[in-house]
Amino acid sequence: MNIAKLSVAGLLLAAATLSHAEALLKVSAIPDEAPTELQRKFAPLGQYLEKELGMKVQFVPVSDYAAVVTALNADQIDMAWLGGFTFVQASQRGKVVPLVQREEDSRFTSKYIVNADSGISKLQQLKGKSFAFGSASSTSGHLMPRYFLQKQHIKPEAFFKSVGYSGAHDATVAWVSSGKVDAGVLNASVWDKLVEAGKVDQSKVKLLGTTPPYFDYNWTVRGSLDKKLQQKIQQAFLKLNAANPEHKAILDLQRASRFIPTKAANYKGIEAAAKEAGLLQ
Amino acid sequence: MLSNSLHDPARASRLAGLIATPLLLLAAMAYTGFNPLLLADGDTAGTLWRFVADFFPPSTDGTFLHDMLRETATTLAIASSGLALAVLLGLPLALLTSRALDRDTLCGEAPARPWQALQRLLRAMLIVLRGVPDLVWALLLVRAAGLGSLPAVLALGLAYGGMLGKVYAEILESQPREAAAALAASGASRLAVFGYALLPQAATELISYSVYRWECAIRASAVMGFVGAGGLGLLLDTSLRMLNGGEVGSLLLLFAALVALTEGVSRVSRAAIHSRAGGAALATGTLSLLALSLLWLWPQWREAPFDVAGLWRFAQEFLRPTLRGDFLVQVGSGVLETLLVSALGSALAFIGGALLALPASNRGPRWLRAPVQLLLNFLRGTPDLLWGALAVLALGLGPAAGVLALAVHTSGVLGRLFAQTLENTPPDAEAALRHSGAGRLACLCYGLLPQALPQWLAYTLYRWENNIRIAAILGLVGAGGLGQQLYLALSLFQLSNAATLILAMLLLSWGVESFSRWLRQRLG
Amino acid sequence: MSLRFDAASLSLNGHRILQPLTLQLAQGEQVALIGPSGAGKSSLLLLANSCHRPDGGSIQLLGEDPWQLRAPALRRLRSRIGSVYQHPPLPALQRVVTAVGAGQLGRLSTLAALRRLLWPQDVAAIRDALQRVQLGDKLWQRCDRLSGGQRQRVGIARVLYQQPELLLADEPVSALDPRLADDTVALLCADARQRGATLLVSLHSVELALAHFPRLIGLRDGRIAFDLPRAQVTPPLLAALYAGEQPAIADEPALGSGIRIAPC
Repeated sequence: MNIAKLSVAGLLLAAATLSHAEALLKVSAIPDEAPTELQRKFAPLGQYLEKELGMKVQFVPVSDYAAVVTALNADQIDMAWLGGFTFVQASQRGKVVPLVQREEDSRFTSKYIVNADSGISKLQQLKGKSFAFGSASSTSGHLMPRYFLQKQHIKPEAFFKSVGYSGAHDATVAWVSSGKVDAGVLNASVWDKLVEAGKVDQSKVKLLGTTPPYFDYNWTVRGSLDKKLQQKIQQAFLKLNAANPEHKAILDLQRASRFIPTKAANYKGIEAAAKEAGLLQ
Repeated sequence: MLSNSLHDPARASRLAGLIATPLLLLAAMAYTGFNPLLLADGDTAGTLWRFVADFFPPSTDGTFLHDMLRETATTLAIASSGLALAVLLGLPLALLTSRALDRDTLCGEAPARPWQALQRLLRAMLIVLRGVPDLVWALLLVRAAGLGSLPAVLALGLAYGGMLGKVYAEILESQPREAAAALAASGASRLAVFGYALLPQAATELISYSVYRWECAIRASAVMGFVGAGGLGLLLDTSLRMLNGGEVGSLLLLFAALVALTEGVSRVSRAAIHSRAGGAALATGTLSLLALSLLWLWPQWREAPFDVAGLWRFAQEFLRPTLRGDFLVQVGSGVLETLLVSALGSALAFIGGALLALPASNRGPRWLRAPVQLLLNFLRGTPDLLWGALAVLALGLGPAAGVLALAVHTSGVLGRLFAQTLENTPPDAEAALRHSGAGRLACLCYGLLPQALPQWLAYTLYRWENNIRIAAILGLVGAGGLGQQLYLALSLFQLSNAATLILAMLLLSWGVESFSRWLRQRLG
Repeated sequence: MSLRFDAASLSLNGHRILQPLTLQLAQGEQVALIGPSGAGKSSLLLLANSCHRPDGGSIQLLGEDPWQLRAPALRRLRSRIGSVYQHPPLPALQRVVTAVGAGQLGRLSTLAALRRLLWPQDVAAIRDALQRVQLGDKLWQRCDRLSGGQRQRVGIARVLYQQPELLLADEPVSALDPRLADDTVALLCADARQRGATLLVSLHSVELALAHFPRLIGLRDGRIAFDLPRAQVTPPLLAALYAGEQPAIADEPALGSGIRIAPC
């Protein structure tokens, strides 16, 4: 009797799961900022996509960069906002398709910041100080700054007293501001946003420098996702137009002027840099 | 030994000890960069104080409280189902490996060779299962099979399964043999001997230990989120990274309440085993808790199905450890750092524990006793990983923070044990000295400590064996050692490097265990 | 007066152990305390080394009332009083040299005491004390490796090393063979005589008491049955003292274990 009930319930659950999977697009993002901020940023974009695609869109918060890569490769999510480096990792470990990127992502930069009390004004003065990258898997918070530092013959582990990973760009600012580390590096776009929003105490954190430009973020889907759906998603992103006030709100939250198509070849440079920096084998 | 000489025959070794101990401590301090004076430094104290002051008032933000409730439920569910899995794994392994059920121990039959080989293999498996810290299991599973609470449940199941397998086997071995031997002599099977002879004898102890482990599992699953495996740790990790003091404050309060609650439930349950009605209530409670846990976790598992293919791919990459020279050098420095952090942290905790044990036992002023006991509970109740995160805030990134975190947390653990030792030590020797006019400190050092010291040292060595594992994972919050290298390797999908690092952790933990066992035997 | 009881009485756990006792020992006097088990000999000695506080009357030790003194003065007074215990409480892992050296802790500064713990000091004097109880070869031995009799003699070596002005001993030779017991009591007496110290020893053996002490105090049921010079202690007196000797009463603590409940 009980066993019969249980198995019926199990079947119903399984059926519900299957029917769900058809109409639901599960989206995630590398947690390059605080989870609450990610959700805030995504909400209007999610509603827009629901309308355009005619299906439910769900945001799956993830605490760690590499976990997004694993989840995308494991088909646990359908689409993700990836950094250049996480995209390279995901395409090495499975089949993924990059759809669009922000126009800004083709010339992205990182900012070096320093605790104001340290009195440091040049990168070379950071010798023997403590330094924070963002997440180890971050392009703008780790890979590219490391790559450019190495070009200047700075090997972080030897040059700095200690190297830490704050995990996210806004965390890096909090760390430098509190004096937990002397200096750090983060995504230029997040830095600009925090400065505009007045969330950086300029008496505690100073800008030290900017890296040369490189390719970064994109929206990527898993390779096994329906090709038509892939195209629909791409079109939805490309249709976003800053002249439309509703669209402008979405673009502003994404800190994009517009979205443009992208292709895997754009990230060959990142792959080469990752190999040179020893982060990719 | 029987020397009339005025020269101390143990002079050389005492001198060596007197010189070597401080030198070793100083060397360890220099290598890990741990400078106790830094704690008194205004800047350090200021940074930490500002953060701790932010704990008040704790955050009462609606969404945050809602998240907290949800993750508390998840934490409880992970711990309960993880422990259930551990029992399912540990009990059969214990039955297969326990010497208490071997026919050669019970009725002197010659053991079959293939059977012995299988037992050896299973025992080695148990060592690996429990030798890898639960948090590292979780980290591996999150990387291999994706997000969510399932990796946390599996991690607890594996690590605790290994532990339960060993302890269950030992509990069975400590039972009187007669009944089992009689059954075995009449030809009963292994399972029958267990069911009819040993289980009735050992049941209460087995259950009581499992309940105690459930209590530990709650503490463990509360920090699993630090590696992305769900539960309260996820919130704590984020709040700590963002330096959001109010949220950390709320989480700490919740955490203390949770620990107190589970300790209470655990105590009541262990008392309940002894009566029939209590046993039935316990069984019902356990089953409903388990059912509720699975019901709660099921939607999460459905949404993020376990990636078996990914696990397989991961295992293939993983099972080829990197043995490149330059990488091994890097691992070697990580091993040394982890070893020194654990040793120095434990040594400092010995001092801290001793200083706290005096007022916490019946030796100090009476008014001081309750507050110090409270402090000890706080020190040991707050998870080591959290101490690690706070220590990083105070001392900056690196091994020094690891030393501080271990020293603080272990002081709480040892302080309580040391106080118990003191309360059990006969006061005669001390009193006799006091009545011949010796001062307080002299009475303590000549009368009390020589009696308590062997026990204290044994406790500290035991704790060191535990701390070597903790030191290996403190790197996850930036406190140096092998943990940081492992986290980096797994973040960058350098799985063969991760394999080498885990191998190094296992070897290190095995080495420290053997060394400590040897030392304890010499002391006893 | 080295020791003076004025109607001093003692109760423990609501039981009266000692009735009000009045007693005086002059400086340099040597007195044996005898009586059946449970008579209160150990309790009397515990009053005399200021372990217990009398609940009636008063006591004076070396001319001072210990219970009127402040802590430092009490410490100074106690350092001049030495006690030998029937079962000397020696920590198992402590070495004999340290255990005996602890006899002078009352006279050492805390710093000096700690230094001695790390590195043995005054070893020659400690060895002399041990040689007097024929344990010179045990200087570097650990206490848990000693027999009961050896431990008792280490306890005696400790007071010899302490050189107190008032020496109190509770059944100090109970674990020794008769020959060694005789030598050891003689040693205590000779040491006290030589330094002009006062000696009060409780003994189970009447023979030993009669052989070595000019004055004997008989104690029974917490009362002084007699307090007489050796010559006046007659067999009938002794017979009355030990008449119908009963097994030890649980309430009366032996020295050593008695300290367990010491209120001080």
